[in-house]
Amino acid sequence: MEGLATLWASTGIANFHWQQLIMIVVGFGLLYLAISKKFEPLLLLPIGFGAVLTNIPIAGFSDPGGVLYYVYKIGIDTGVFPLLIFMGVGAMTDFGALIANPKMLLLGAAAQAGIFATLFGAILLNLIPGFDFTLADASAIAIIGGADGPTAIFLASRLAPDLLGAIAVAAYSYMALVPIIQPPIMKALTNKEERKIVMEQLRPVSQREKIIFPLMVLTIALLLLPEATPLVGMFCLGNLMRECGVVDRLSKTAQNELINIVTIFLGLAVGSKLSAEAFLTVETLGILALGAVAFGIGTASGVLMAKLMSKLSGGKINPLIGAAGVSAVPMAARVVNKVGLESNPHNFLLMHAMGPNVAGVLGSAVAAGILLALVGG
Amino acid sequence: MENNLSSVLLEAANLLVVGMGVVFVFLGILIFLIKLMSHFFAGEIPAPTKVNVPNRPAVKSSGAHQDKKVVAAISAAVHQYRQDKKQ
Repeated sequence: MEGLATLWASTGIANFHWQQLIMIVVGFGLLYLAISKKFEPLLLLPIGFGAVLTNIPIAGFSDPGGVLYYVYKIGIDTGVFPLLIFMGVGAMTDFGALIANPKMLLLGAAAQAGIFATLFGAILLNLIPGFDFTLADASAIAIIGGADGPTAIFLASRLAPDLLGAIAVAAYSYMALVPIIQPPIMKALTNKEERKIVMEQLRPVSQREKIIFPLMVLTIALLLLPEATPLVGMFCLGNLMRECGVVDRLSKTAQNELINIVTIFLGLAVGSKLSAEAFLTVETLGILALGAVAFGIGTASGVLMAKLMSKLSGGKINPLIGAAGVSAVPMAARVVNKVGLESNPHNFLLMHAMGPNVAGVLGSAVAAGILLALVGG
Repeated sequence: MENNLSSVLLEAANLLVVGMGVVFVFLGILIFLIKLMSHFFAGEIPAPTKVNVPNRPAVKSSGAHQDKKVVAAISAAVHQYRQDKKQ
Protein backbone atom coordinates (compact mmCIF):
# COMPACT_ATOMS: atom_id res chain seq x y z
CA MET A 1 0.00 0.00 0.00
CA GLU A 2 2.81 2.36 0.84
CA GLY A 3 4.48 1.51 -2.47
CA LEU A 4 1.33 2.49 -4.26
CA ALA A 5 1.32 5.84 -2.48
CA THR A 6 4.94 6.45 -3.44
CA LEU A 7 4.14 5.57 -7.02
CA TRP A 8 1.19 7.97 -6.98
CA ALA A 9 3.39 10.71 -5.55
CA SER A 10 5.73 10.32 -8.51
CA THR A 11 3.05 10.57 -11.21
CA GLY A 12 2.57 13.70 -13.24
CA ILE A 13 -1.04 13.99 -12.13
CA ALA A 14 -0.15 14.30 -8.46
CA ASN A 15 2.49 16.93 -9.09
CA PHE A 16 0.82 19.25 -11.58
CA HIS A 17 0.39 22.90 -10.85
CA TRP A 18 -2.47 24.37 -12.80
CA GLN A 19 -0.08 26.85 -14.43
CA GLN A 20 1.94 24.01 -15.86
CA LEU A 21 -1.21 22.48 -17.24
CA ILE A 22 -2.06 25.75 -18.95
CA MET A 23 1.41 25.99 -20.44
CA ILE A 24 1.19 22.44 -21.74
CA VAL A 25 -2.09 23.41 -23.37
CA VAL A 26 -0.32 26.47 -24.83
CA GLY A 27 2.35 24.10 -26.15
CA PHE A 28 -0.29 21.92 -27.77
CA GLY A 29 -1.86 25.09 -29.15
CA LEU A 30 1.44 26.00 -30.82
CA LEU A 31 1.67 22.47 -32.23
CA TYR A 32 -1.84 22.89 -33.60
CA LEU A 33 -0.94 26.21 -35.24
CA ALA A 34 2.19 24.65 -36.72
CA ILE A 35 0.60 21.47 -38.03
CA SER A 36 -2.94 22.46 -38.99
CA LYS A 37 -2.51 26.14 -39.81
CA LYS A 38 1.08 25.81 -41.10
CA PHE A 39 2.20 28.83 -39.06
CA GLU A 40 6.00 28.85 -39.43
CA PRO A 41 5.89 25.09 -38.74
CA LEU A 42 9.67 24.66 -38.84
CA LEU A 43 9.94 26.71 -35.69
CA LEU A 44 6.61 26.56 -33.95
CA LEU A 45 6.64 22.77 -33.92
CA PRO A 46 9.86 22.39 -31.91
CA ILE A 47 8.93 25.46 -29.84
CA GLY A 48 5.53 23.98 -28.99
CA PHE A 49 7.03 20.62 -28.13
CA GLY A 50 9.72 22.27 -26.05
CA ALA A 51 6.99 24.13 -24.18
CA VAL A 52 5.24 20.85 -23.39
CA LEU A 53 8.46 19.16 -22.27
CA THR A 54 9.64 21.99 -20.08
CA ASN A 55 6.37 22.10 -18.13
CA ILE A 56 6.33 18.43 -17.24
CA PRO A 57 6.63 18.21 -13.46
CA ILE A 58 9.46 16.25 -11.83
CA ALA A 59 11.21 15.50 -15.15
CA GLY A 60 13.07 18.80 -14.84
CA PHE A 61 13.90 19.34 -18.51
CA SER A 62 14.87 22.95 -17.91
CA ASP A 63 16.48 22.57 -14.49
CA PRO A 64 20.27 22.35 -14.29
CA GLY A 65 21.04 18.85 -15.50
CA GLY A 66 18.03 18.62 -17.79
CA VAL A 67 18.52 18.31 -21.52
CA LEU A 68 16.72 21.54 -22.48
CA TYR A 69 18.71 23.40 -19.85
CA TYR A 70 21.91 22.49 -21.65
CA VAL A 71 20.49 23.11 -25.12
CA TYR A 72 19.50 26.60 -24.01
CA LYS A 73 22.78 27.22 -22.21
CA ILE A 74 24.92 26.13 -25.14
CA GLY A 75 22.88 27.53 -27.98
CA ILE A 76 20.99 30.62 -26.94
CA ASP A 77 22.75 31.88 -23.83
CA THR A 78 25.90 32.08 -25.93
CA GLY A 79 24.08 33.50 -28.96
CA VAL A 80 25.46 30.72 -31.16
CA PHE A 81 22.20 29.29 -32.55
CA PRO A 82 20.65 32.47 -33.90
CA LEU A 83 23.97 33.35 -35.50
CA LEU A 84 24.26 29.95 -37.20
CA ILE A 85 20.71 30.38 -38.46
CA PHE A 86 21.66 33.79 -39.77
CA MET A 87 24.56 32.24 -41.68
CA GLY A 88 22.12 29.80 -43.27
CA VAL A 89 19.72 32.60 -44.13
CA GLY A 90 22.63 34.44 -45.73
CA ALA A 91 23.39 31.35 -47.80
CA MET A 92 19.76 31.23 -48.92
CA THR A 93 19.46 34.92 -49.79
CA ASP A 94 19.90 36.20 -53.32
CA PHE A 95 20.79 39.87 -53.27
CA GLY A 96 20.47 40.18 -57.05
CA ALA A 97 17.22 42.16 -56.92
CA LEU A 98 18.72 44.58 -54.42
CA ILE A 99 22.00 45.07 -56.29
CA ALA A 100 20.03 45.75 -59.46
CA ASN A 101 18.03 48.45 -57.72
CA PRO A 102 19.97 49.64 -54.65
CA LYS A 103 17.50 52.43 -53.86
CA MET A 104 15.31 49.71 -52.37
CA LEU A 105 17.61 49.84 -49.33
CA LEU A 106 15.78 53.01 -48.33
CA LEU A 107 12.59 50.99 -47.97
CA GLY A 108 14.37 48.44 -45.83
CA ALA A 109 15.56 51.32 -43.67
CA ALA A 110 12.18 53.05 -43.41
CA ALA A 111 10.42 49.90 -42.29
CA GLN A 112 12.70 49.75 -39.24
CA ALA A 113 10.75 52.70 -37.84
CA GLY A 114 8.40 50.07 -36.45
CA ILE A 115 11.18 48.91 -34.13
CA PHE A 116 12.07 52.27 -32.72
CA ALA A 117 8.49 53.50 -32.45
CA THR A 118 7.56 50.41 -30.45
CA LEU A 119 10.17 51.36 -27.86
CA PHE A 120 7.82 54.16 -26.80
CA GLY A 121 4.87 51.82 -26.61
CA ALA A 122 6.78 49.41 -24.38
CA ILE A 123 7.84 52.17 -22.03
CA LEU A 124 4.38 53.75 -21.93
CA LEU A 125 2.97 50.38 -20.92
CA ASN A 126 4.79 50.89 -17.63
CA LEU A 127 2.01 53.33 -16.76
CA ILE A 128 -0.29 50.34 -16.42
CA PRO A 129 0.20 48.55 -13.11
CA GLY A 130 1.75 45.13 -13.53
CA PHE A 131 4.17 46.22 -16.25
CA ASP A 132 7.76 46.94 -15.49
CA PHE A 133 9.78 47.08 -18.68
CA THR A 134 13.29 48.50 -18.53
CA LEU A 135 14.77 50.15 -21.60
CA ALA A 136 16.62 46.90 -22.31
CA ASP A 137 13.36 44.93 -22.11
CA ALA A 138 11.65 47.48 -24.33
CA SER A 139 14.43 47.22 -26.94
CA ALA A 140 14.22 43.44 -27.01
CA ILE A 141 10.44 43.61 -27.45
CA ALA A 142 10.66 46.31 -30.09
CA ILE A 143 12.93 44.19 -32.30
CA ILE A 144 9.88 42.00 -33.02
CA GLY A 145 9.09 44.80 -35.48
CA GLY A 146 12.18 43.76 -37.41
CA ALA A 147 10.19 40.68 -38.41
CA ASP A 148 13.28 38.57 -38.26
CA GLY A 149 13.29 35.56 -35.93
CA PRO A 150 17.01 34.98 -35.40
CA THR A 151 17.66 38.70 -34.90
CA ALA A 152 14.87 38.90 -32.32
CA ILE A 153 16.17 35.83 -30.45
CA PHE A 154 19.74 37.09 -30.58
CA LEU A 155 18.85 40.50 -29.22
CA ALA A 156 16.50 39.11 -26.57
CA SER A 157 19.17 36.68 -25.37
CA ARG A 158 21.51 39.65 -24.90
CA LEU A 159 19.12 42.23 -23.47
CA ALA A 160 16.18 40.45 -21.84
CA PRO A 161 16.66 36.68 -21.47
CA ASP A 162 13.62 36.45 -19.18
CA LEU A 163 11.31 37.62 -21.92
CA LEU A 164 12.92 35.53 -24.64
CA GLY A 165 10.21 32.90 -24.84
CA ALA A 166 7.39 35.37 -25.29
CA ILE A 167 9.40 37.52 -27.71
CA ALA A 168 10.34 34.57 -29.92
CA VAL A 169 6.80 33.23 -29.97
CA ALA A 170 5.44 36.70 -30.81
CA ALA A 171 8.05 37.22 -33.54
CA TYR A 172 7.36 33.91 -35.27
CA SER A 173 3.60 34.11 -34.85
CA TYR A 174 3.44 37.55 -36.41
CA MET A 175 5.74 36.50 -39.23
CA ALA A 176 3.19 33.79 -39.96
CA LEU A 177 0.42 36.38 -39.74
CA VAL A 178 2.04 38.76 -42.24
CA PRO A 179 -0.56 37.84 -44.92
CA ILE A 180 -3.29 38.96 -42.52
CA ILE A 181 -1.66 41.97 -40.85
CA GLN A 182 -0.15 43.67 -43.88
CA PRO A 183 -2.75 43.86 -46.68
CA PRO A 184 -5.26 46.12 -44.85
CA ILE A 185 -2.47 48.58 -43.99
CA MET A 186 -1.10 48.46 -47.53
CA LYS A 187 -4.52 49.08 -49.04
CA ALA A 188 -5.38 51.87 -46.61
CA LEU A 189 -2.25 53.83 -47.52
CA THR A 190 -2.35 53.46 -51.30
CA ASN A 191 -4.95 54.12 -53.95
CA LYS A 192 -5.94 51.82 -56.77
CA GLU A 193 -3.91 53.69 -59.38
CA GLU A 194 -0.75 53.42 -57.30
CA ARG A 195 -1.24 49.73 -56.75
CA LYS A 196 -1.45 49.22 -60.50
CA ILE A 197 1.95 50.72 -61.23
CA VAL A 198 4.05 48.34 -63.30
CA MET A 199 7.75 48.46 -62.57
CA GLU A 200 10.62 48.20 -65.03
CA GLN A 201 12.28 44.85 -65.46
CA LEU A 202 15.39 44.56 -63.28
CA ARG A 203 18.76 44.30 -64.97
CA PRO A 204 20.71 41.08 -64.55
CA VAL A 205 23.47 41.24 -61.98
CA SER A 206 26.96 39.85 -62.52
CA GLN A 207 28.54 37.26 -60.28
CA ARG A 208 31.33 39.67 -59.39
CA GLU A 209 28.84 42.16 -58.03
CA LYS A 210 27.24 39.43 -55.97
CA ILE A 211 30.60 38.37 -54.57
CA ILE A 212 31.68 41.88 -53.72
CA PHE A 213 28.36 42.77 -52.10
CA PRO A 214 28.65 40.77 -48.84
CA LEU A 215 32.26 41.89 -48.41
CA MET A 216 31.16 45.47 -48.83
CA VAL A 217 28.36 45.12 -46.29
CA LEU A 218 30.77 43.56 -43.81
CA THR A 219 33.30 46.34 -44.34
CA ILE A 220 30.76 49.07 -43.65
CA ALA A 221 29.52 47.20 -40.58
CA LEU A 222 32.96 46.71 -39.09
CA LEU A 223 33.81 50.35 -39.65
CA LEU A 224 30.55 51.93 -38.48
CA LEU A 225 28.78 49.49 -36.20
CA PRO A 226 30.96 46.68 -34.81
CA GLU A 227 28.09 45.69 -32.48
CA ALA A 228 26.16 44.55 -35.53
CA THR A 229 28.98 42.42 -36.90
CA PRO A 230 28.02 39.15 -35.17
CA LEU A 231 24.72 39.20 -37.09
CA VAL A 232 25.91 40.94 -40.24
CA GLY A 233 29.17 38.99 -40.31
CA MET A 234 27.58 35.56 -40.14
CA PHE A 235 25.00 36.64 -42.69
CA CYS A 236 27.68 37.85 -45.09
CA LEU A 237 29.71 34.67 -44.59
CA GLY A 238 26.72 32.59 -45.64
CA ASN A 239 26.04 34.84 -48.60
CA LEU A 240 29.65 34.82 -49.75
CA MET A 241 29.70 31.01 -49.62
CA ARG A 242 26.61 31.03 -51.80
CA GLU A 243 27.82 33.47 -54.40
CA CYS A 244 31.54 32.79 -54.72
CA GLY A 245 30.89 29.48 -56.47
CA VAL A 246 33.91 27.62 -55.12
CA VAL A 247 32.47 26.23 -51.87
CA ASP A 248 29.12 24.89 -53.04
CA ARG A 249 29.35 22.07 -50.52
CA LEU A 250 29.65 24.47 -47.60
CA SER A 251 26.91 26.67 -48.98
CA LYS A 252 24.57 23.71 -49.36
CA THR A 253 25.32 22.54 -45.84
CA ALA A 254 24.71 26.00 -44.42
CA GLN A 255 21.35 26.35 -46.14
CA ASN A 256 20.14 22.80 -45.57
CA GLU A 257 21.58 20.39 -43.02
CA LEU A 258 23.16 22.90 -40.68
CA ILE A 259 20.25 25.32 -40.55
CA ASN A 260 17.84 22.40 -40.09
CA ILE A 261 19.80 20.91 -37.20
CA VAL A 262 20.15 24.27 -35.52
CA THR A 263 16.47 25.03 -36.09
CA ILE A 264 15.44 21.92 -34.14
CA PHE A 265 17.57 22.88 -31.16
CA LEU A 266 16.76 26.57 -31.39
CA GLY A 267 13.06 25.77 -31.33
CA LEU A 268 13.43 23.43 -28.36
CA ALA A 269 15.53 25.94 -26.48
CA VAL A 270 13.01 28.72 -27.09
CA GLY A 271 10.24 26.36 -26.00
CA SER A 272 12.13 25.66 -22.80
CA LYS A 273 11.72 29.35 -21.97
CA LEU A 274 7.94 28.96 -22.06
CA SER A 275 7.74 27.93 -18.43
CA ALA A 276 4.63 28.83 -16.49
CA GLU A 277 6.31 31.40 -14.26
CA ALA A 278 7.93 33.21 -17.21
CA PHE A 279 5.03 33.11 -19.65
CA LEU A 280 1.84 33.41 -17.62
CA THR A 281 2.22 37.10 -16.85
CA VAL A 282 0.53 40.25 -18.08
CA GLU A 283 3.86 41.17 -19.62
CA THR A 284 3.36 38.42 -22.20
CA LEU A 285 0.08 39.99 -23.27
CA GLY A 286 1.87 43.32 -23.52
CA ILE A 287 4.61 41.76 -25.66
CA LEU A 288 2.06 40.20 -28.01
CA ALA A 289 0.22 43.51 -28.37
CA LEU A 290 3.42 45.50 -28.90
CA GLY A 291 4.62 43.02 -31.51
CA ALA A 292 1.51 43.59 -33.59
CA VAL A 293 1.93 47.36 -33.25
CA ALA A 294 5.57 47.09 -34.31
CA PHE A 295 4.63 45.11 -37.41
CA GLY A 296 1.90 47.57 -38.30
CA ILE A 297 4.08 50.65 -37.94
CA GLY A 298 6.93 49.00 -39.85
CA THR A 299 4.62 48.13 -42.73
CA ALA A 300 3.07 51.58 -42.77
CA SER A 301 6.38 53.44 -42.74
CA GLY A 302 7.72 51.20 -45.50
CA VAL A 303 4.68 51.88 -47.68
CA LEU A 304 4.81 55.62 -46.97
CA MET A 305 8.49 55.74 -47.89
CA ALA A 306 7.75 53.86 -51.10
CA LYS A 307 4.95 56.31 -51.82
CA LEU A 308 7.36 59.19 -51.43
CA MET A 309 9.91 57.51 -53.70
CA SER A 310 7.15 56.80 -56.18
CA LYS A 311 6.20 60.49 -56.29
CA LEU A 312 9.83 61.58 -56.63
CA SER A 313 10.54 59.08 -59.40
CA GLY A 314 7.48 60.18 -61.35
CA GLY A 315 5.43 57.06 -60.71
CA LYS A 316 7.99 54.39 -61.51
CA ILE A 317 7.81 52.67 -58.14
CA ASN A 318 4.80 50.76 -56.91
CA PRO A 319 4.30 51.84 -53.29
CA LEU A 320 3.16 48.37 -52.29
CA ILE A 321 6.74 47.10 -52.35
CA GLY A 322 7.50 49.25 -49.30
CA ALA A 323 5.60 46.77 -47.16
CA ALA A 324 8.25 44.15 -47.94
CA GLY A 325 10.81 46.32 -46.14
CA VAL A 326 9.93 44.68 -42.83
CA SER A 327 11.98 41.59 -43.84
CA ALA A 328 9.96 38.42 -43.00
CA VAL A 329 11.60 36.91 -46.12
CA PRO A 330 10.00 35.78 -48.37
CA MET A 331 6.50 35.99 -46.93
CA ALA A 332 6.26 39.78 -47.07
CA ALA A 333 7.37 39.86 -50.71
CA ARG A 334 4.75 37.26 -51.60
CA VAL A 335 2.07 39.31 -49.88
CA VAL A 336 3.13 42.35 -51.93
CA ASN A 337 2.90 40.27 -55.08
CA LYS A 338 -0.55 39.03 -54.15
CA VAL A 339 -1.95 42.46 -53.30
CA GLY A 340 -0.44 43.83 -56.52
CA LEU A 341 -2.08 41.08 -58.58
CA GLU A 342 -5.47 41.94 -57.07
CA SER A 343 -5.24 45.41 -58.62
CA ASN A 344 -3.57 44.42 -61.84
CA PRO A 345 -3.60 40.72 -62.74
CA HIS A 346 -0.61 41.11 -65.05
CA ASN A 347 1.64 42.90 -62.63
CA PHE A 348 4.10 40.57 -60.92
CA LEU A 349 5.84 42.52 -58.18
CA LEU A 350 7.60 39.56 -56.55
CA MET A 351 11.11 40.27 -57.84
CA HIS A 352 10.72 43.99 -57.15
CA ALA A 353 9.57 43.25 -53.62
CA MET A 354 12.54 40.95 -52.98
CA GLY A 355 14.84 44.01 -53.04
CA PRO A 356 13.24 45.79 -50.07
CA ASN A 357 12.65 42.40 -48.47
CA VAL A 358 16.33 41.47 -48.23
CA ALA A 359 17.15 45.11 -47.48
CA GLY A 360 14.86 44.72 -44.47
CA VAL A 361 17.00 41.84 -43.19
CA LEU A 362 20.06 44.05 -43.31
CA GLY A 363 18.09 46.93 -41.82
CA SER A 364 16.91 44.94 -38.83
CA ALA A 365 20.39 43.54 -38.23
CA VAL A 366 21.73 47.08 -38.22
CA ALA A 367 18.92 48.21 -35.92
CA ALA A 368 19.72 45.31 -33.57
CA GLY A 369 23.35 46.40 -33.59
CA ILE A 370 22.36 49.94 -32.66
CA LEU A 371 20.15 48.76 -29.81
CA LEU A 372 22.96 46.52 -28.55
CA ALA A 373 25.46 49.33 -28.73
CA LEU A 374 23.27 51.95 -27.06
CA VAL A 375 21.21 49.91 -24.59
CA GLY A 376 23.26 46.79 -23.98
CA GLY A 377 26.48 48.51 -22.93
CA MET B 1 8.15 57.36 -11.01
CA GLU B 2 6.73 60.03 -13.31
CA ASN B 3 10.10 61.66 -13.49
CA ASN B 4 11.78 58.38 -14.15
CA LEU B 5 9.28 57.55 -16.89
CA SER B 6 9.84 60.80 -18.70
CA SER B 7 13.58 60.33 -18.57
CA VAL B 8 13.23 56.83 -20.03
CA LEU B 9 10.90 58.23 -22.69
CA LEU B 10 13.48 60.84 -23.52
CA GLU B 11 16.04 58.09 -23.86
CA ALA B 12 13.68 56.20 -26.18
CA ALA B 13 13.21 59.34 -28.30
CA ASN B 14 16.95 59.65 -28.45
CA LEU B 15 17.21 56.01 -29.57
CA LEU B 16 14.54 56.60 -32.22
CA VAL B 17 16.42 59.52 -33.76
CA VAL B 18 19.89 58.01 -33.49
CA GLY B 19 18.68 54.55 -34.50
CA MET B 20 16.78 55.60 -37.60
CA GLY B 21 19.60 57.99 -38.45
CA VAL B 22 22.24 55.29 -38.30
CA VAL B 23 20.08 52.81 -40.22
CA PHE B 24 19.57 55.35 -43.00
CA VAL B 25 23.22 56.43 -43.05
CA PHE B 26 24.39 52.81 -43.09
CA LEU B 27 22.09 51.74 -45.88
CA GLY B 28 22.62 55.05 -47.69
CA ILE B 29 26.37 54.44 -47.81
CA LEU B 30 25.59 50.96 -49.07
CA ILE B 31 23.47 52.39 -51.90
CA PHE B 32 26.32 54.64 -52.91
CA LEU B 33 28.84 51.80 -52.81
CA ILE B 34 26.59 49.40 -54.74
CA LYS B 35 26.19 52.01 -57.46
CA LEU B 36 29.92 52.57 -57.52
CA MET B 37 30.55 48.84 -57.71
CA SER B 38 27.93 48.30 -60.41
CA HIS B 39 29.60 51.04 -62.41
CA PHE B 40 32.75 48.93 -62.58
CA PHE B 41 31.49 45.38 -62.57
CA ALA B 42 27.98 45.36 -64.05
CA GLY B 43 29.31 44.96 -67.59
CA GLU B 44 30.45 41.45 -66.79
CA ILE B 45 27.09 39.85 -67.48
CA PRO B 46 27.57 38.69 -71.06
CA ALA B 47 30.73 36.84 -70.07
CA PRO B 48 29.16 33.40 -69.65
CA THR B 49 27.18 33.64 -72.91
CA LYS B 50 30.27 34.83 -74.75
CA VAL B 51 32.08 31.73 -73.59
CA ASN B 52 29.20 29.61 -74.82
CA VAL B 53 28.94 31.07 -78.29
CA PRO B 54 32.33 29.96 -79.65
CA ASN B 55 31.78 26.63 -77.95
CA ARG B 56 28.70 25.89 -79.94
CA PRO B 57 30.18 24.81 -83.29
CA ALA B 58 32.56 22.49 -81.51
CA VAL B 59 29.71 20.69 -79.77
CA LYS B 60 27.57 20.61 -82.87
CA SER B 61 28.39 17.02 -83.67
CA SER B 62 26.61 15.93 -80.50
CA GLY B 63 23.35 17.62 -81.43
CA ALA B 64 21.12 15.11 -79.69
CA HIS B 65 23.17 15.44 -76.53
CA GLN B 66 22.73 19.20 -76.53
CA ASP B 67 19.01 18.88 -77.18
CA LYS B 68 18.78 16.79 -74.08
CA LYS B 69 20.63 19.44 -72.17
CA VAL B 70 18.25 22.12 -73.41
CA VAL B 71 15.23 19.97 -72.51
CA ALA B 72 16.69 19.36 -69.07
CA ALA B 73 17.31 23.06 -68.53
CA ILE B 74 13.82 24.03 -69.64
CA SER B 75 12.13 21.40 -67.54
CA ALA B 76 14.20 22.42 -64.54
CA ALA B 77 13.12 26.03 -65.08
CA VAL B 78 9.47 25.02 -65.41
CA HIS B 79 9.75 22.90 -62.30
CA GLN B 80 11.31 25.77 -60.37
CA TYR B 81 8.62 28.15 -61.58
CA ARG B 82 5.84 25.82 -60.54
CA GLN B 83 7.45 25.22 -57.17
CA ASP B 84 7.67 28.97 -56.61
CA LYS B 85 4.07 29.46 -57.60
CA LYS B 86 2.94 26.70 -55.28
CA GLN B 87 4.43 28.27 -52.16
